[in-house]
Amino acid sequence: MKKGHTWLWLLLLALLFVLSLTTGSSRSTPAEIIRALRSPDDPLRYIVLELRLPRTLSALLCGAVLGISGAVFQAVLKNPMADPYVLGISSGGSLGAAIGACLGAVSLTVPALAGGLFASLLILLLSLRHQSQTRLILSGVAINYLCSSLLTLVMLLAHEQYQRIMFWTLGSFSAASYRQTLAVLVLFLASFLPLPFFTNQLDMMLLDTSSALSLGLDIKRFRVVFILLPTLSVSVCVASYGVIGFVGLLAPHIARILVGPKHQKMLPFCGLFGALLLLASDILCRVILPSGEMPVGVITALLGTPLFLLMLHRGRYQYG
Amino acid sequence: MKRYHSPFTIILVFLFCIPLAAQPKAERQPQAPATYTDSRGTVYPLSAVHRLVSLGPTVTETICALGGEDMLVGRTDYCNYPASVADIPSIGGILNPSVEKIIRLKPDLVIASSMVSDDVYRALDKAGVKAISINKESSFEGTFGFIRDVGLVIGKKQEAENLAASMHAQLAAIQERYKNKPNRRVCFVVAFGTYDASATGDTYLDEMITLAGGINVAKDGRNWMFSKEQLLLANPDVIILMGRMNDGKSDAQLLAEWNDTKPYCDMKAEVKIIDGDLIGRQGPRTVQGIGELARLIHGE
Amino acid sequence: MDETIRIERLFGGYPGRTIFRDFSLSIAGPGLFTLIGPNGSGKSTFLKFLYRELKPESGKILLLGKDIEKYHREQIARIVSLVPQWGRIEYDFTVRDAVAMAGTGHVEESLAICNLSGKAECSVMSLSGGEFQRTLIARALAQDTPILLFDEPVNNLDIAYQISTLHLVKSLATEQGKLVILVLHDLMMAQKYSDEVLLLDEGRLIAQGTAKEVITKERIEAVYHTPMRWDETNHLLTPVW
Repeated sequence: MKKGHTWLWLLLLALLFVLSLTTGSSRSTPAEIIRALRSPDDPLRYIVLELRLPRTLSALLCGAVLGISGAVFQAVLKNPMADPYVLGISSGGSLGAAIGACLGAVSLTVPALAGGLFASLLILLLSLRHQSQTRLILSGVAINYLCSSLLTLVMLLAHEQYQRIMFWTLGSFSAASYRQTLAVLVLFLASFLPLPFFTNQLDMMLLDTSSALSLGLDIKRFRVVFILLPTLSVSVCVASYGVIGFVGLLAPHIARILVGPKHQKMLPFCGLFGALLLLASDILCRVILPSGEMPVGVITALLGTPLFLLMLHRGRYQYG
Repeated sequence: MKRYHSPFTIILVFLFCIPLAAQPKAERQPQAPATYTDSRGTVYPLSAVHRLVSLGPTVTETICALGGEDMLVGRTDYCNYPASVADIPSIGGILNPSVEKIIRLKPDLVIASSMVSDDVYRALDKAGVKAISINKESSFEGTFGFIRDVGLVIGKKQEAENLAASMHAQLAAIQERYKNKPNRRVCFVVAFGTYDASATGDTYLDEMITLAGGINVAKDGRNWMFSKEQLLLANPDVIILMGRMNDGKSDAQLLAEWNDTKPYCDMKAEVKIIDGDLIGRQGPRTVQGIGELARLIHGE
Repeated sequence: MDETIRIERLFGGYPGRTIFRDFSLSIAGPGLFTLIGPNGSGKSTFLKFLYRELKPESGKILLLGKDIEKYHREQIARIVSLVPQWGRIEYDFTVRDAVAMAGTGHVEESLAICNLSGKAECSVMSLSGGEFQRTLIARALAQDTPILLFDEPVNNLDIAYQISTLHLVKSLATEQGKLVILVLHDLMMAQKYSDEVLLLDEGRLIAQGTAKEVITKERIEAVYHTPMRWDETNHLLTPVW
């Protein structure tokens, strides 16, 4: 991808940002928004500042977290099909949220966070002694199945909570608040600030074991650290906004198609494309139904998949 | 019968109701015994009943309102009105009642709502227990159809007519009372927070709001979907929350949750809570529910 | 110490399968040392101990006089580099990016030595077998280590690539002064290029010395169970076809 194109993507980001602030149950022009912002009593001002702006920021941040985490997981697990949820964050988080809902929790965030972290740590512990990424993924698959079954059981037993839990699992930014966004931002910075120093190691993770080891990479230690770090920020995202799929899987592939697999170049784009994809989906989910909102997780799949297939088809994407 | 504690349930029920909307009444043939065709198409020959099992709260309330409480030998966990039915043994939930318990009670007739699965009917049929489903369209008029049909099958036809008449009279009184009051703008919110749902124009509650003298701001919505933005822009005078939704929250907790969550806490509307059982059951207390709703909407 | 690599009483192998029992040897560089032996004799396994992919059950491995356990992995990568046998790269990194994974600044020189400067921007997935092998060699060179390990580098190459690779490997030992350990199957190549030959069989060091000393008819026939004969014209021990 040529250098100039980065600015195009950033421009697209800015456009989507403005679109997000002007879109909701009613469409407004930017001029109307600015006018509303000036008058304290205008309901539109409240809507923009308290509803649309927090959710825009959340969607962008969450998208960046998912995009970058997806790339890190795909490298660490040496698997192009990995996404941030393959090691239990979403299934454990959903189970935590479900149990929390049944126990009468007002906010599902804390129980979801606990569930997600617990499941992830369990999976890591189960495969700690082994060099093999396959072992890790298989443990993840097993725990995911277990948590999903338990989740179904909980939802059957407590069916008054059914649609609340179900909606939570599909993901939504409609209840986004500044406080949540700040928490996600803090964890995002904590988890991802070290990343630029380890892009070479992330590249090395994609090599065969002998090559990586002989190049000086401590595979086991690196894997643990670079699973735990993104797990933290993804868990908070999932706990705050529900399970939003596809972004973590697609953004790294799109980034690779456009800028190549070298993590130094590709990671920022993973964040960028994740943010774009998720914000676009969130805007769509506000307008696609005649009344009310669709969960954003549905839209990410509908939007991202044809996009990805198109790029696969057109590009000379070589992948394994 | 339908239970209005979850919008999705209501949607499901609504879908079931559409093909069954035109319900044939019991056929009257001088030679053959009178029969009643239930909402599943089962033809039930009317006969005297002494032992009844109810598979839904609305059925229970209706049977009791028609004076048939002493005939009731079994009810569901959710049947809680009138209070005296607590003494009647329960046969489990609505979706998954215990067929064994029902059989052991040796009922003459089991009356069910639409939420009961086909497996239950099959199992009861195999055990020789008669079970019918009475299910009416989701509307105010449908309520009367329901009461009349229950009255018919339990041999309380006249009592049913009387009850219907008194309910009509009661409604007339309510509408007279609030005739000159200004129409207040209302939104009936059934879920808020992670997920927003309100009584949109295609729901049963919409009709209730209108009968109670309110203007439903969510009338243009469909399928219970009404977003936070829509709610804010609609700016209703009164917001009604559905209390006692079986999720264990008290009214005070519900109100506290509303007042703690943005953007609801910043809304200028008066927030009132109505008993979910009262307004949600399409049965004898429906008009009472409308009255309560009107009282909450108009503030007196 | 002039011993670059020293193995003392090594016991070890894979989980459930011990390859080396009380194995000792010492190699003093620089030079081209070929490691030969039948399949399963432990040649590739031996290499894995030298950059700590495998850990010994007991015994010591000393690199440049120091116990390998006392080094950090990054330090070992400055001493030993590997051109692996199965070094596939399944993503379309450019040749330059692949070599740059060595993490040092010697990328351009290494590309030049391996004749890859023209192909530096090509995707590794578009390379021929020989070009890919040279990429792996360039990567190992970029690590700029005194010891280089080559694990059967010419197995799948055509004859031209085989010879050019071996020439390159030899020049690393003679011109660049590196200690190169080359695992080979081909006895002819071993005889032609080695400074020293190490013959392994079933995890034991059978012989170590010059090619002439080690590759004798009796020894090879005993280890490989194949009749051999001395080819007078080429001064090589060859199999009886």
